[in-house]
Amino acid sequence: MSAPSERRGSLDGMTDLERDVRGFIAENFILDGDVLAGDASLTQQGVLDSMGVLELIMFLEQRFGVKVPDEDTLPENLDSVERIVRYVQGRLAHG
Amino acid sequence: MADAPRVGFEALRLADPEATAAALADALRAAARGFRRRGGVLGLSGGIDSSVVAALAARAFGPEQVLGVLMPETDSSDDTLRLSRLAADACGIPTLLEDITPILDAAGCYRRRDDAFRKVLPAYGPGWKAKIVLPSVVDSDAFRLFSVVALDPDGREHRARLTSEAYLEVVAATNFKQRTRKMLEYHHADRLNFVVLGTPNRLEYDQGFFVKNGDGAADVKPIAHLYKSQVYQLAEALGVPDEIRSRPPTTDTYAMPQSQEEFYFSLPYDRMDLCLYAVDRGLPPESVADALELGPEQVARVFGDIAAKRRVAAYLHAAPMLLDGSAA
Repeated sequence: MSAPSERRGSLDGMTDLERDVRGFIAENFILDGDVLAGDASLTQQGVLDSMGVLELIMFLEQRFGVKVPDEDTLPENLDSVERIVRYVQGRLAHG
Repeated sequence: MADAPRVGFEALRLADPEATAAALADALRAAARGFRRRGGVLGLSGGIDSSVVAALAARAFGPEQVLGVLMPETDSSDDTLRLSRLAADACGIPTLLEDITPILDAAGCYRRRDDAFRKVLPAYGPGWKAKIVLPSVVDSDAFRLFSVVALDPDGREHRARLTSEAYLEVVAATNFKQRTRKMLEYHHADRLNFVVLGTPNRLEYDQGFFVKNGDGAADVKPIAHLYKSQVYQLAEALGVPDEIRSRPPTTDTYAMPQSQEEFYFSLPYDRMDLCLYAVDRGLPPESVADALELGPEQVARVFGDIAAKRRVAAYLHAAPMLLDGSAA
């Protein structure tokens, strides 16, 4: 299966994968147009709550075709844009 | 940095539970008088909180000026009615039985809930029992994701992680229960010219463990400032029966027995109380770690969970917003 938006670079240096993740967060968690730093904690910024994590996981599974098992639902995998992108890239790379 | 002050469970002790009960009864009577109402209605669940509020109300208004409404439904525990009557008898208040199952059935509560369960457990159907659970916050940094645990008619257990859609639909459906009960409480309050008494304790009130416009609605909340441990002390002073005081708190919302820790709180109530006490006073995790027999990093996770629940509770506490148009 081909990943729909993996690691293709773009002019502003943002991968399509990161753009998709940022788009999802902006659309669903209402950031009032604020630019979110790639390493900013989504939970500490109040962006993600327990419901938001469920929605994020569903988005990642549906959009990128990866499975996010319970044991992977850790802050180091999901608590910033950079971490999410890195996690999804890892899952895609390892099938 | 100086060592953090150490705080133990003794910090939660009421100095004089009898005096607290007397003062609360006076305040409750004054509050009702302020609303020009002459008594109180409350829903009795057989739990510690409603039993204490019933006893306080009996003191405040006299037992005949209090009505305890018993509102079981098909998923209620077998003990609910018996313990509710036990609480009412102990303080002498009259009770009224309103089985809310037909109302819930007509509203589609069970059908909507079961449809939502089937989104993650397709085999779920008649004869199954289920509940929603959360993993422990203490044991791991992992995000806490809701799962459904179900028993099929043959007694086999099934478990599946809920999607956000299924979770919201299950909660929205089961919230009919609390809102139906509140509707009936207000019906009886209106016809009797009584106030509706809310029964949340401080832990529940602070952390949003209630349904907006359901059990979160009331005219007076007499114990919402008291930690749950203090409610137990008050219960003893008010003569709430032993059986009720020794029963572990449950949600009594799903067909499978569900503890409050499985569904909402990180720790059993007395330990949650101590964490909330520390958070309320700006104390660091180290201050209560010894008493809780947890590591500071585990306590820090509980503190983080308390802060997260407060963010969610802000919506539940909010009164309707009035927009004056000045921004237009």
